[in-house]
Amino acid sequence: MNTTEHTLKQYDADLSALRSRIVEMGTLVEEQLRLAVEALTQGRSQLAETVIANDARVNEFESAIDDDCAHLIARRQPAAGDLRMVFGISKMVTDLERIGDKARKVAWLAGAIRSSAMADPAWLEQTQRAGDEARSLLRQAIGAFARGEVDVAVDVLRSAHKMAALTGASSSHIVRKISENPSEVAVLLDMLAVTKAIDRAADHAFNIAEHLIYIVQGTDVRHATLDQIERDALQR
Amino acid sequence: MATKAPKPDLSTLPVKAEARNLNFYYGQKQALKAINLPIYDRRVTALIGPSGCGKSTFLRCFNRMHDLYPGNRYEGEIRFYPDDINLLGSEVDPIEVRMRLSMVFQKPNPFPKSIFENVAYGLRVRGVNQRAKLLEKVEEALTDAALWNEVKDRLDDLAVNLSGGQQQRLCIARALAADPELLLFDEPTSALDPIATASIEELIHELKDKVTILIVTHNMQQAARVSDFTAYMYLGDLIEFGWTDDLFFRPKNKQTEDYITGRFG
Repeated sequence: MNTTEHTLKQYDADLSALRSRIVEMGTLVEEQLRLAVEALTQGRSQLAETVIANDARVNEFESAIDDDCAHLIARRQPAAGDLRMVFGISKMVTDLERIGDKARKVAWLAGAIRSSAMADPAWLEQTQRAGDEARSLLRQAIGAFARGEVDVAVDVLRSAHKMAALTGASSSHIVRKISENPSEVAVLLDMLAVTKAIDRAADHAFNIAEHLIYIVQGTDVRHATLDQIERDALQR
Repeated sequence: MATKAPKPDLSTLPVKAEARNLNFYYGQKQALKAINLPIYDRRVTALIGPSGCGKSTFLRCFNRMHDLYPGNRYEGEIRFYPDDINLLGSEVDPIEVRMRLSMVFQKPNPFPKSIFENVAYGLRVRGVNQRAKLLEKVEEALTDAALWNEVKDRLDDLAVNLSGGQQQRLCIARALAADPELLLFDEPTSALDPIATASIEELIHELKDKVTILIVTHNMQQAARVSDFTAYMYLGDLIEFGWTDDLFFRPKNKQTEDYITGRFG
C-alpha cells in the first residue's frame, strides 16, 4: 500500500478513516464469532443473545462503509492503488458481513443443540477448535490488511488445509451420529449447519486475504492455486 | 466470461511516429532527456506530468515549433511513418512538416475572419481555391468537428462571436480540414467548461478512427477517459509509458503512482 501522503490532506484523512472502519468492523465480527462459538461450547445462552443483538451493528458497519466507498469514489476519483483500496474494501465489507451472519447462525442454533444429548464433548471441542482457527485466520487477514502485509495474507491462504481438516473431522463425526441416531436427525442437522457456518466464516477470511493481495499488488488471485499465489505474490 | 477484448500485442500495432533518443535544449537548459516513445497509428496518446515536465516541449517538437526561436536545439530523431523520415532532420522543411500535422492549442485562437474562412484557411494556403471544393472540405471538417449543425446557417459570421467551446471545435475543424496525419492537442479543454470539455473529449474519441492523436493534458481523468496510451513525464524524463488502462490501474513506477494518485510534491 502506498504510504506517501496525498497533496490533499483531507483525501488522506478519508482513506485513513475508511481503513480504520474496516479494521473496527473486523474486530467486531471476530468478537461476534468468539461469543457465538462460546455460547455453544460453554452453553451460555446470554452470549448467544448478545451476538444476535450485535448483528445489527455489523449490518450498520456494512452500509456505512459501502456508503463511504461510494462517496470517496464520487468526490476523489481515486486511481491506481487508491482505487484498488476502495474497491477491495467494498468487497471485504461484504465478506465481514457474511461472517457476522455465520456468527448469528451459530448463536441462533446454540440453545437447541445444547439442550440435546447429541452435542457430545468431543464434537463441542472440535467445534471450539474450528471456531478458534477461523477467528485466528480472520484476525491475521485483518492484521495483514491494516499493515499491507502480503506475506501474512499468503500465510492465511496456506492454512486452508488445516481448516478443512478441522471441519471435515467435525462433519464426519456428525454424519456418523446421524446413521447411529436417525431419530435425532433434526438436531444433528443443526450441528452440521454450525460446522458449515464456521467453515464458511473461514472461507470469508480467505477472501479477505485475497482482497489484500489485490489491493497491494493489483493481481486477482481468487482463482489461482496456492503455488501460483506463492510464486507471483511473494516474488514481487 | 471476459468483459473486454484482450489488448493487442504492441509489436503488431502500426506506429505513426517514434521519438528516438530525443533530447531538446532551450539554450543551455535541457528540457527533454533521451526520450524514446512510439506514437501508435490512429490511437490517442496522452502526455501527462506536472508543470515543467516537458510534455508541451515534446509535443512542439513534432511540428518544429521550437525552430521559431533562436537557441533551441534538438538531438535525436522523430521518425515519421510510413515514409520513414526524420521530422527533425535538417533536410526536412518545417513548413512541410506543419502541412502534415495540425495543432490545437489551449485557448481557442480563431482568426479574425468568418467561420468559413477559418476552416478554409489551411486549404487556401495549400492552393485550393475552387469554391465548390472549399465548401465540400469545410462542411466535412465542420461535421467531423461536431460543429456543422450549429453553424451551417451562419458560415459568414465572425468566428470570434462563437462560444468558447464552439471556437475550440472550430479550431479542430480548421486543423482537420488540412487532412493531417497527426493531430497535436496542447491542453485543448483547459479553458472550457465541463459541457464543452465533454464534447471535445467525445470528438477526440470519434476522430481517432481517422487520425493519430497526441494530447497534452493536465487533467489526469481526461487522459484516463480519452487516451489509449499514456506517457508520464517528469523533469524532462519519460518515466513510464503504457496502455492507459494499465497505467491508471496498476502503474509499474512508484513516481507514476504518486502522481496519478495525487501524492506528488
